[in-house]
Amino acid sequence: MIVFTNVTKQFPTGQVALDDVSFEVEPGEFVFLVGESGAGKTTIMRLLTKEMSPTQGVVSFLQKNLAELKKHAIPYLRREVSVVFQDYKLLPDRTVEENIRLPLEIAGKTAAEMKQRVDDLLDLVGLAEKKLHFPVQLSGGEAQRVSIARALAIGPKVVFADEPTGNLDHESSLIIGKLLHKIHELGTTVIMATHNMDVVRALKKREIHLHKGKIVKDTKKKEHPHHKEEKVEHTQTDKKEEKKEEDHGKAI
Amino acid sequence: MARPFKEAFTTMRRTPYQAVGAILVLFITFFVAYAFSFLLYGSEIVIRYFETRPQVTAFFKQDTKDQQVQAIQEDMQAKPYVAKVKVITKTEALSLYKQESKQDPLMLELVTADILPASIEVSGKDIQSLEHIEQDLQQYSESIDEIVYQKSMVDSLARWTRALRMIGIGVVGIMALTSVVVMVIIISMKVAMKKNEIAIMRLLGATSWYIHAPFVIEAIMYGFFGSMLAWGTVVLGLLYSTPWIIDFFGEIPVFPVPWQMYALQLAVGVGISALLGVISTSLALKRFTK
Repeated sequence: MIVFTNVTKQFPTGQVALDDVSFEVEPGEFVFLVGESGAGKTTIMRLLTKEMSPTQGVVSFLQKNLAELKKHAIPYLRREVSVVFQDYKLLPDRTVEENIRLPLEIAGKTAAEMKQRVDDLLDLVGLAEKKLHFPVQLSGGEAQRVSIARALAIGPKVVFADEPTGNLDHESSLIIGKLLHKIHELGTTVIMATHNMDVVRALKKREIHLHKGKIVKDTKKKEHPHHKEEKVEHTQTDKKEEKKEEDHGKAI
Repeated sequence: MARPFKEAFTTMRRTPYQAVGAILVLFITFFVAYAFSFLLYGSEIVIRYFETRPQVTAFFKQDTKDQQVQAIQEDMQAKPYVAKVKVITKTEALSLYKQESKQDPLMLELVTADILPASIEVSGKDIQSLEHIEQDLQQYSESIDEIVYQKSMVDSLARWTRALRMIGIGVVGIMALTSVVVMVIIISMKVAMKKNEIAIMRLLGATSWYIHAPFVIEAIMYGFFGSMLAWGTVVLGLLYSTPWIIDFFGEIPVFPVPWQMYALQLAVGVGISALLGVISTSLALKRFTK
């Protein structure tokens, strides 16, 4: 689904944000991009949403080389790859409901479709009672849940959460992690860039570790020789986790 | 299509001073443009009036016989560049004089048909034919006492109209440029204020048209309101001053202005206002949404 092949990104200042990075994300995967600030996590997101182009290498999405994507097609790519930002990027003068509705308006959905979808998403993120609140009236965790709901609004194929827990306390971070896991279970590919190891450990998913623009560890590759056995174990563990998460999801 | 209109009206309502400022600047521009267009339309009518009047008038000597007058009339009628020939006899001249001086009985008593000369009025097909007509009439110097024609007046009127048109185009051009600059400033301010919102919309998959449409509509609305207001004011002013204008132009038929003229003016005005809106928005967005 997402393929990065020998991707290098160097900025005009000379700073190398990504250095010969290659990885692949399958449909329906949940992947953590782990690394310190400046490791290149956000650059991967910006390359994937074609906010920028790689200096070298190929980024492809659904077998399409993004370098060949015409300018007018970029908005449609961004409807397939939604982003959840660390700073939420909610519109301050719009209510929770209006913020979630925005991508649906952009996509030209009907009023009835929008209402149904917004109500479903508010239920999913557990903020139905706050739909008329403005972002300033929300806690950090709640604002991030709105941001997630907005990212899911038009049913993207991929949700890229860029440090979604960066501004949150431990408990809120775990709630966001669980929520993203729930979204993944519902069939969406999720990539979560984070340096919050608590969330990474709690969810036990594929991890791609970045350091100074290079991939230093990819748990999928590492697992490869014993893939089947480990996968079975993983699945059993996952099932237990899923049960816990399901309960937690209901609580949310 | 309802969203861009809704957003444009909301923005206008939220920034009333900017909206009023933009509309006023456009109002002044279009007011001057509409006023000039009426002025030029009027001048064209005046020129056409003088061009199609009996332009060369020759007054016969008192002793000219009717046969001579008739011969000259037939001669002139045969010329290819002559549109119309009319002879005014002494009696007709007296009756015209009486008509024009009916409010002055003393003048009427003093004048009889004998002192008024007969005359011949010759209309040319165009303004260039006047000189030929004059030369033709000069050949009958034994019968004709004086020749009067209005070429120089028509010429100077045409010159004035040309000058007026150039001044009009210049003034309206400068004012249109000012309007565009003012609108660029206002739209730029609004785009700058919404820079974050625009960035977020882009990340959410908004197309350029989705982002630009409300600004384009807003600028078109400024142009539309400014243009309509100016058109209404000019038309009302014209209707109000109709008696004065009729009095000023006398027998020149500047009224009624045909409805097609009003419709054409309005259509062109609305079209240009939309164009100004699109140009200003494009410039503003080009600067701020790279």
